[in-house]
Amino acid sequence: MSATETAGHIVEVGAKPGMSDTTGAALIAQIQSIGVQAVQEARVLALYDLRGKLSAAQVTQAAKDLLADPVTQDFRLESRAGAFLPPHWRLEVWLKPSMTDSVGESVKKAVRDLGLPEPSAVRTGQAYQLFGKLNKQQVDRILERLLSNPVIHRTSAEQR
Amino acid sequence: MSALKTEAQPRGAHPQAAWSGASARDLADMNASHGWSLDAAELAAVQAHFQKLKREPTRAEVETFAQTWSEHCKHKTFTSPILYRDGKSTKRIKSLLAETIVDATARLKKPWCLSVFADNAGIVAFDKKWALAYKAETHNHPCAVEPYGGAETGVGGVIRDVLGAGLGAKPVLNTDVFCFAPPDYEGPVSPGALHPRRTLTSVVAGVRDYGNRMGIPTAAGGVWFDEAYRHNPLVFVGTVGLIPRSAIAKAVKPGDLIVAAGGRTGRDGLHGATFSSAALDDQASVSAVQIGHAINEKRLLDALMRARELRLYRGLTDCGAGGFSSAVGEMAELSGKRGGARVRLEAALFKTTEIAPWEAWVSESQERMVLAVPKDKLAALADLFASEGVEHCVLGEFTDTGRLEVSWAGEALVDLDLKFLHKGVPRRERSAVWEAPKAGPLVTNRRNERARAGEALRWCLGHLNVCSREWIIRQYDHEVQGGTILKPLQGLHHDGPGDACVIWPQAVVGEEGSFRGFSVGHGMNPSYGRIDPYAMAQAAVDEALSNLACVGADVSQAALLDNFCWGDPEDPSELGRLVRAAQGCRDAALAFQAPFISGKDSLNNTYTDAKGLKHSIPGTLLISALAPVPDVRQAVTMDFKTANNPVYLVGWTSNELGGSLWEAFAQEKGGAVPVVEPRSAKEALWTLSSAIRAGLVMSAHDLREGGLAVAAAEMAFSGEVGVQIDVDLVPRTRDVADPVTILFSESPSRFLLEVSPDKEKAFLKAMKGVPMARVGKTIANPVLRVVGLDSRTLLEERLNELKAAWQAPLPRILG
Repeated sequence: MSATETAGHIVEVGAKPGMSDTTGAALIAQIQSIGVQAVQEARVLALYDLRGKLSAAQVTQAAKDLLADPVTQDFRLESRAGAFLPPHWRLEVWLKPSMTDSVGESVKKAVRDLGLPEPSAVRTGQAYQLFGKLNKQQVDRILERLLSNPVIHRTSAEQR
Repeated sequence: MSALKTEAQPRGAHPQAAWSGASARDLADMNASHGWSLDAAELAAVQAHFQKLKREPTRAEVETFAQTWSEHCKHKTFTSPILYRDGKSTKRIKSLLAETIVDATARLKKPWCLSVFADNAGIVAFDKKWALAYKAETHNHPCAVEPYGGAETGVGGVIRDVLGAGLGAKPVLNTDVFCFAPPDYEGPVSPGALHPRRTLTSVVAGVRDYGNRMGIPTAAGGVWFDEAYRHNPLVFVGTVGLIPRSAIAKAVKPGDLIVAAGGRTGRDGLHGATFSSAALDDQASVSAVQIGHAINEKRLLDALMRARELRLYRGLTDCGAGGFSSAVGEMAELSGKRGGARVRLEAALFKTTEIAPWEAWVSESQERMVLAVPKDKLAALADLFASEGVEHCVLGEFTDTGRLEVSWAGEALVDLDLKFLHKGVPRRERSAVWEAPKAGPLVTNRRNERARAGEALRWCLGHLNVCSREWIIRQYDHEVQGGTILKPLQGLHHDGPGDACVIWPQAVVGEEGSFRGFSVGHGMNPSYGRIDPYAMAQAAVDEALSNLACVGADVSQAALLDNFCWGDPEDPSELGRLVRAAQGCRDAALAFQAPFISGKDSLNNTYTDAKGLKHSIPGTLLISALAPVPDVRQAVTMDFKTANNPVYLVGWTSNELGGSLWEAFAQEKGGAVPVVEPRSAKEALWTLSSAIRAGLVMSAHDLREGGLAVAAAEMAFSGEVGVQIDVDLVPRTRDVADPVTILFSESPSRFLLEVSPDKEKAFLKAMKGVPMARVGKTIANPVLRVVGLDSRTLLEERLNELKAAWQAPLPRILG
């Protein structure tokens, strides 16, 4: 991807409040298995970076009709402000630009099939919201040992 | 990407600087920096070839040699001469493959072998109309670096092997076998290596996602845990496909169009073939790593199945290791008398414009196939592909010029003599040595251990190499396509360890009048191989065939696949062990009259860490076996069915505990490795197989790791039917002096059977001549009770406790 690529809209999809986030629960157990006990709650979100000439309204429609399950999941267009959440760490894991993103390719075609303009590219990733007293070292350990592989992923971690 | 409108330059077309005058050292340097994995003799052969032509090779040409001559594509070790020393005798082997595995198949001359060692998969007859194609592959190196993507692309690759066998077989079963370090391993993990727990969970996820998304049942497999695999996990993936017998012959004719279909070509997956031929270090090349796209492959599969019926192409092959260079190169050999192909590479469909022509030529981008299409069929094929959403392009045409010619926008990229490319690889003689390990003092009596028999049984059941694989199996869809008659998990609650699955492939073609099915079994035990690879190979064949017999398959029509995963072939003792294993395969195949139909080897499974220390895997052989089940309604599961039925044990029990679970439990050493007695084993196996197919056996299970104790426990708790066994009744050789040895011996070719009282007479008649004895009966009390030689109770364990011990490990470790 070149730097001049149109900035995209990032859609974030996760379990609705009240819905059990099973992948989040499994993640807590995994985090404990590598010796980090402080995580009290974990939420896992799917991220879709839709690039190209789509308006926010069109991206919203794609998210509603394609990316999120209307019964169990919520979505939102990611903004820096974020929702009202207690302090937490947000970890993101994306495939490196050099990797072919198969899910992204399928999403790209599916958006077109909805009758919307086809995105120039779609990249996919995961976000992890970790609640609990964690330090940067522990977060890096979680990223490195459980959530990503430096061979194929780029990652970020920030406290919010 | 749109901002970069650079015309792709034929960078690869420029000659490589100064090959003609390069010293051996210069060549070695170039080889290392480009990652070609060619050895000195091969580099010299390429140099001499171009000196004779009085020109410099292009980058793309050298890359073509590197791919075509790679260990991955050419199996150099298995086909080159070996000087083999076994004790005092020395023997010159011209080609290990030809003299062992292929030789056995040629001598057996089975008419139902329709295509062996020739195509992308072995093909055997299934019934009058259909045949089965079977192939198993390894994807070890990619899985070590990126386990999820490595497993996915491994599955995708072996599916394409079957799709590229004949004119294309429809995949009806995926198999998966892994070797990992224990997931609760607590020792150090070297830089560049992942923790075994991570490797396991990610590989399982990759197999699951690819197989499930393509709608192919994953219903057979196994896992072996050993710390020696911590740097080199082994991932074996297999696929069985159904193909009309009329679609097995493939051809390529001069003038046929070269059509590439499926995924686009990108920079991903460069150098996979050469990468897999090199040892792993912590600087492992990463460009070989990809994530699969199962949906693309599914579309390709559906389109090809329709095109096959309409005969819109004449030949096809998958684009795997080496990409277009290997796929087009291999098909070009079939074209006319001399073979040949002319490729205009710029016509390929690309993921990116930022790709050098040589990269496009060797890229291993996934989900691609290459077809030979008669000119008059192209329009129809294009329409069909479009209707299935599959992209394709015409790359050029096959010729009869004897040359592989590739150009990019009019500029020559590759112009090579096909004969030299395929036959010119220098054959270097390697030396191999086998020395039998010195036998230690043999433990001849374990009478003093009898108080620990119950503890040992629970320990064995909870051992990682025995315990329930339900945590893994339940992630796979083993029901899709609707033809899985016997599931991988069997018994009253569908959670017992079945010997094999039984598949009814007619489910996918709608031939409901036929009840013919097939089964696949696996055999593997690297612990035996540490003592003697020959015994390991025989035991693996014996185990795979035993699994088939237990479920009601006809083992007289069993076909075998071999998958060798070995360390450094340049190390004479490693190579000696490989030779010994290959000889074991040949002798077992001849004895059991079960021909090998295909195989694969993955060598150089070594790891050199940052300190320069070399780690090698134990030589590992997976035997996969495939046989028809004449009537799937007669299939038999391994769980005991009801109380008060006689229980029979087939086969001799000897003091063979070398490499056994008991040795690990009791920390014994020096035991004799289990040895297959080929002639009697074959007789027993074939006779039992007929008796089971005649409906004379209610449940059957073969005895492996943990011996009689573990097998009896598994049958009992899976059926929730107790059993009482009198070890005094067990047929045994003279070296067996105590009940503990009888319970935990791992002598091969043994089976535990439950027989209905009203069929006992017929059963005995059918089994005449086979060494066996009635050793006990099923009982209503839910316990496993073993009575010792002196009629005292040796052990009595509750079935629910045994089952809990067996089920606990993986959920406890993996969550």
